[in-house]
Amino acid sequence: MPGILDKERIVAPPSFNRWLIPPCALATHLCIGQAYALSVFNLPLTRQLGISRSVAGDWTLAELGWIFSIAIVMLGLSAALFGTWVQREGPRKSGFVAAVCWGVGFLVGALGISTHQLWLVYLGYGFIGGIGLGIGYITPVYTLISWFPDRRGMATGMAIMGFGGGALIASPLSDTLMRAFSSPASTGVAQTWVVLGIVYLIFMTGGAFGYRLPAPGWKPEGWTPPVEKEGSLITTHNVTPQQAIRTPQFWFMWWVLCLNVTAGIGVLGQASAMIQEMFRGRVTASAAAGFVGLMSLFNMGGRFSWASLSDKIGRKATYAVFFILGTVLYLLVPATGKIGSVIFFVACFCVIISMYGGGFSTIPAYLSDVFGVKYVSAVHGRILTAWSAAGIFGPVLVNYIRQWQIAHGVPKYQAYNVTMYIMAGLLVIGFFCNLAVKPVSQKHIEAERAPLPEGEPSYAK
Amino acid sequence: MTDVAKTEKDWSHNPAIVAFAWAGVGIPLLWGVLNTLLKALALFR
Repeated sequence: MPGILDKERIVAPPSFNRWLIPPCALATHLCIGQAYALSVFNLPLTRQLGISRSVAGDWTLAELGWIFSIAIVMLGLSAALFGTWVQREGPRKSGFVAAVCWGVGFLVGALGISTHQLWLVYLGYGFIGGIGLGIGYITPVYTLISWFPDRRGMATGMAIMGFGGGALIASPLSDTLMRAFSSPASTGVAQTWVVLGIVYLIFMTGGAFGYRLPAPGWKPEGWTPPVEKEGSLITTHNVTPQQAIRTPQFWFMWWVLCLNVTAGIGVLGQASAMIQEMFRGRVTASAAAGFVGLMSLFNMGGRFSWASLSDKIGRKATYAVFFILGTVLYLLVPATGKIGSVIFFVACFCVIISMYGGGFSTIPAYLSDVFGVKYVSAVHGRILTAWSAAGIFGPVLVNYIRQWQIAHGVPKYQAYNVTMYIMAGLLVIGFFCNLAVKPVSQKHIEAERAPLPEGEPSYAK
Repeated sequence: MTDVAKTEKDWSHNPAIVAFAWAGVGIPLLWGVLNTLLKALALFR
């Protein structure tokens, strides 16, 4: 008898309504997407001892910045390390483990905040929570692609949209909770983390227990799996994760993701300062915060819309659009500053950020096209190391180039121009990496008893 | 071999279940989107 968390236990009857799977995936991603809203705790955490203001012994912003960095590094590492396990054990078990890690991470972090031990916050949110992030991020991918072989991009786009949307919920929710818990003796952060940890644990566990896998041989009504054509990028065969990382395709796609993310992540962190410095006197701090909010919406919307579009025009063409349009828009940004058009500037960045989000959500479907469906979670987990690398490249490029320019006498409002040109250059390289993605050679294809039809998963461990 | 029929009952077409599942994720997301939109309005004031 399979255990309650085993994948054999969650095989759905043929008539199962597949539209119940995306809410489960969203339940996972909306919770772990909180990571993007971690900065709302930065200032209160710098006055844990002084409460109303920072005093000697309080944590600095630089020290607190490591919490997010550790979590993102752990996301990449755990997705890469546990990808095969996630695929083998199924979405209920991995979703539940992610829920426990994410929830416990908050609780351990809250203990660290209340006892003022930063290492406990690093351990809780950064390390344990980071593992939850990685496992939770890749958990729904294989399940959704199995249920939606006809709309892979839309299905994974919906889940990964949740990761973008998580911050939109977590940010006002955290503000509300901190206000409710704050007192002359407390900033309310520790209590807020306890509540968030418990809420996320319950919500993610609910999602994990809702996952079902299609029965072997199941396919959507009226859908015929496409026949693999000679030279087509979409394969009906499978490449194991161990073989996948030995193919040039994997590394071209690694760079495609890394460069697309680098171009977006660098400006995402600097958006508020950038718009205020480029349009000095015309954009207030609260308007800049509105700009950041608008970018979050486009980041989220882009995840769904671009991935859905990729079902129609193909993944390679979608990334080609990201790189060509992204290059043009980055080259136009300095001109928007020159002509003083805030609207044009905002429009450029909203589209750029939508493509940043679209890059994340289209990659699982791209991987399943090129390497097959069977091991897509494991391969996806490995390619997410590109995100960790981009998390370092992007901000470093933007921050250091800006600093260097200002140190060499360039006015602040012009200090981002070179960065924009470099970002455009990165996207040109990305375009050629994407162009180089060709069908995988036969020698890398897994020797199969029989080719695995679209939408037909294997549950054999 | 997995015995599908014994492991699952098909409750998935029950409209109440479907509405509950989508409302569970949709309402918080909508709340977050509306909050962000209100904040974003400051940009156009």
